[in-house]
Amino acid sequence: MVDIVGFCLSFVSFFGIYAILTLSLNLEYGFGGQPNFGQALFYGMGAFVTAILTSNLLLILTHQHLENICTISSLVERETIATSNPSVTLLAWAISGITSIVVGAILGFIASYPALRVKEEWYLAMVLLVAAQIFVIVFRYNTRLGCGFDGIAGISNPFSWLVSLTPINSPVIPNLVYSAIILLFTYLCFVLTERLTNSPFGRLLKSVRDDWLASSTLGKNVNKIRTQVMIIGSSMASLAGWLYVYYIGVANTEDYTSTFTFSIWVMMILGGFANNRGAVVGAFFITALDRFTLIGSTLLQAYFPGFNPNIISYSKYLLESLLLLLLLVFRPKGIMKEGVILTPAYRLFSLRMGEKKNERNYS
Amino acid sequence: MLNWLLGSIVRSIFESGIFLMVSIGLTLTLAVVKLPNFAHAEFITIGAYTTLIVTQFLPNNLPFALIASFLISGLIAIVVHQLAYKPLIKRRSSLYILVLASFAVAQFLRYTVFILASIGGMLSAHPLINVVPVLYIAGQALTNIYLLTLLLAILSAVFLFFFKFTLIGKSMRAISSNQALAQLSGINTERAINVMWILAGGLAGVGGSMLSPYVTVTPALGFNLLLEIFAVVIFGGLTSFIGTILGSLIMGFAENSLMDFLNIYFSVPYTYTPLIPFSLIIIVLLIKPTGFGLSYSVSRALKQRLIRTQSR
Amino acid sequence: MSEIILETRSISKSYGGIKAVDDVSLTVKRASITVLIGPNGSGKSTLFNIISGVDKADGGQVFFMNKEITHLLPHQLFQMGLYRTFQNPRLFFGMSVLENTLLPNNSRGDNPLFALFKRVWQDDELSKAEKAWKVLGTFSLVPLYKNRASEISGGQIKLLQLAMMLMVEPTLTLLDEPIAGVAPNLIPIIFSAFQEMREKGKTLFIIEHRLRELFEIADFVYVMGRGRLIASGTPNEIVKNEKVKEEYLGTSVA
Repeated sequence: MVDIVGFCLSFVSFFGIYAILTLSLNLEYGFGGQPNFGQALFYGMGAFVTAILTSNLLLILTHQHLENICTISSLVERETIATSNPSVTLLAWAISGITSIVVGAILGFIASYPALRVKEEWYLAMVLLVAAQIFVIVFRYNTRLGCGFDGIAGISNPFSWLVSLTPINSPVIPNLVYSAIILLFTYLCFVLTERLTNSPFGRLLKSVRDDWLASSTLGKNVNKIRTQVMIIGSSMASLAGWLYVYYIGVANTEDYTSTFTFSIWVMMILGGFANNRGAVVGAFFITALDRFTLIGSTLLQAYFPGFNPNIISYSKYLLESLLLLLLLVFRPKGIMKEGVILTPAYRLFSLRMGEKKNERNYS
Repeated sequence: MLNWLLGSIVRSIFESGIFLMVSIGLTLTLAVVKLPNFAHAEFITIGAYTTLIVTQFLPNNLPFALIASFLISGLIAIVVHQLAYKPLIKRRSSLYILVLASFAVAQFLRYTVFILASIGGMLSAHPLINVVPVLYIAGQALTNIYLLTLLLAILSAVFLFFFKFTLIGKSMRAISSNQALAQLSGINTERAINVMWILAGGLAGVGGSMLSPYVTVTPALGFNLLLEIFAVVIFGGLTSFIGTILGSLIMGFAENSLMDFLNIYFSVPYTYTPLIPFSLIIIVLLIKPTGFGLSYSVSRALKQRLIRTQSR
Repeated sequence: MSEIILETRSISKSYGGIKAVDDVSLTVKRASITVLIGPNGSGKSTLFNIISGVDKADGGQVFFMNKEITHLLPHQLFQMGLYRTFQNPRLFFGMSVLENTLLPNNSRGDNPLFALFKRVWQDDELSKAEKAWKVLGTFSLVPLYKNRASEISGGQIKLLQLAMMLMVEPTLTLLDEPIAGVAPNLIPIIFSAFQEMREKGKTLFIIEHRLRELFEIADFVYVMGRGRLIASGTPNEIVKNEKVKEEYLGTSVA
């Protein structure tokens, strides 16, 4: 009844992508103090840039002329290319990946632009929130950019061509490979954020977070630090968008709404403020909530045909918001507490004070 | 050539009235408890659904529906404050945590309505109210609902203007200025704040009720207006009533007359209407962030919250 | 090298009709410990705010190392070698004692790209750690190295502030009531740290309430009252000054 392998793969894939998003938000807000209420914007932009670029690339690189990627014929053509032409598919995949990261970085830079910050801190938060809404509207209704309400389809798994190469001929192989790749990127992002935060730069971030005026008094360039963290965070979110759109096959604005930004915040607060492991843990739990409600909905539909499946997804959103409220009121620091900045300096002190090797929390 | 103009103006005025009723509560909230309440829009939905349900049993009974909407929305507003906002405010949470909490409250309320409406088969419905033309001005029909909305909008504005001079109104202004000091002066801040929430939620609910005969009532009704409401309030400088009135007028006219103009002469599709509040917000923040209202600046109020959590 | 490291000329500042600082002109000699005393509300902190760029004067000028700094901002002053501590310490309460101490100095790891590769900033970090070990050790703060700054006592916070100053050894440090609230047994340690700074050619300009505590180490004293400079001189001279005694109205000054 339930496709166990499919479920596990989807769990793992969503978990990986959500973890990257949570790590990026945690970097921006948990460590850097920048409230990003529009993270879905960077995520979605990475997705749409990928979708548009790769669809066009697949057609151009196989010497076909450019045509409207929104048509069914284009979709069929692109899927055929993906299953038969490894070099073009992988090249398009790589190029769109690099482009999304660059676009994310540029957007991050714009989002932190000093002019926006000169007046009040909350302007940034407001503008990001509004920008994210506008992104959804523009890409949903503008058929030249986004193929309309249904989004851009036909972004096949970049390893679809493996199916014909393996003796088993099973469609699971590309999914397996791609999910592994997602996890690889998740691991890379984790290592990246851990290194960034356990370094002098991490100290700078926290100082700007805790008291930017005092940080400025100590000669730190607060604006530059904020810009840097936004660029890194946004690139990471766009990377997640690139990974996601290839996994799900469609770039649809429904996936990048403010409700989803809210989910990322829940993951971060649940897992633990300013704690990278916590971010991953938080992503894990919300992915579980997400995936199990989906399964539950499918099962209920099978056994109770008259059942309205939407009620399950409504309940999911209800639970998420209730969870966040309970967290904020009773345990705002989340599951895992903020850790110390682990640098050689810390280890020196730790050794001289005769502490155990793996102590990494504030006492 | 300009025969679209009159109809457009008529519609703009109506929407301005609606915006006024639904936004003024947010202005109050920002002024008194300095909370940008993103759940405010949900009070509108709750008001609309209350009217929907009431008119199922008492068709066309507008007075009863309005009173019920006011009370229920207002009540839910108080409950939300007591359960979610008060503990966080007491803990001197940062502005962003409060905003996040208000998102959570909004989502919680919205999906509760989704679930209940789903079960009750009211995901997209109309209240049983007869919309009857009452007046005709130059070929435009002004209905009973239309006139009532204008009346209520004007009454709300006038009421709130004179409200400042009442005891509770003065308490609210004291709290708005300096809550700690107000408490020490013996003002019953709890009561004043609760009254504020009833008014804020209630007015939004009434606005939702007056909107319901004209639109399809869905659980996302309020949520779809969120951006416009914030644009109105930001334009008005966040805590000024006059500013909100001006903002409502601008929003009402921009979304109707301006869009009509752009659509007819520049073929801009109506689906781009949401870009208007966005542009307004950006323009205000860039040109005059303290807004175009009259009273005590919001920036100072919110800054208080930001500063309070930074220095220890 | 000029003898005078800091000079204010006719600094004035009013707050809504009240003259917080009224035409104050003073000079501070390099490699000295200069003290500014005065009763509450005499304008000492306001003057410091103006010198350190936190506040803007209504009139007058400030010169640091013969360059005018009247309109410069705090981070620019820091880069020139002027540092200022606060009466209500502004530390980073979300970070640990050690992290606060390691923050002031620059590092190659401040750049996020380099931060990714530990080898680039490792040596910087270790030498800072050694210095931090020494500095925190002076103030007996080492056992608290991983405690959050929000969880240590008020006196310890003041010591941490001083430790951060010692990590940087600014050319001129303005200290706003550095020993208020500190355990008496630690004051001699602080004083020897101050004297060490002076021996290294650094200058300290200190606001304190009462002269008594700083009597032994102060080189020169300025006294403010109700916004104006009412006296200046060596500690001995100040103690005998009639005007000063009057200003303090019965509070013993020595």
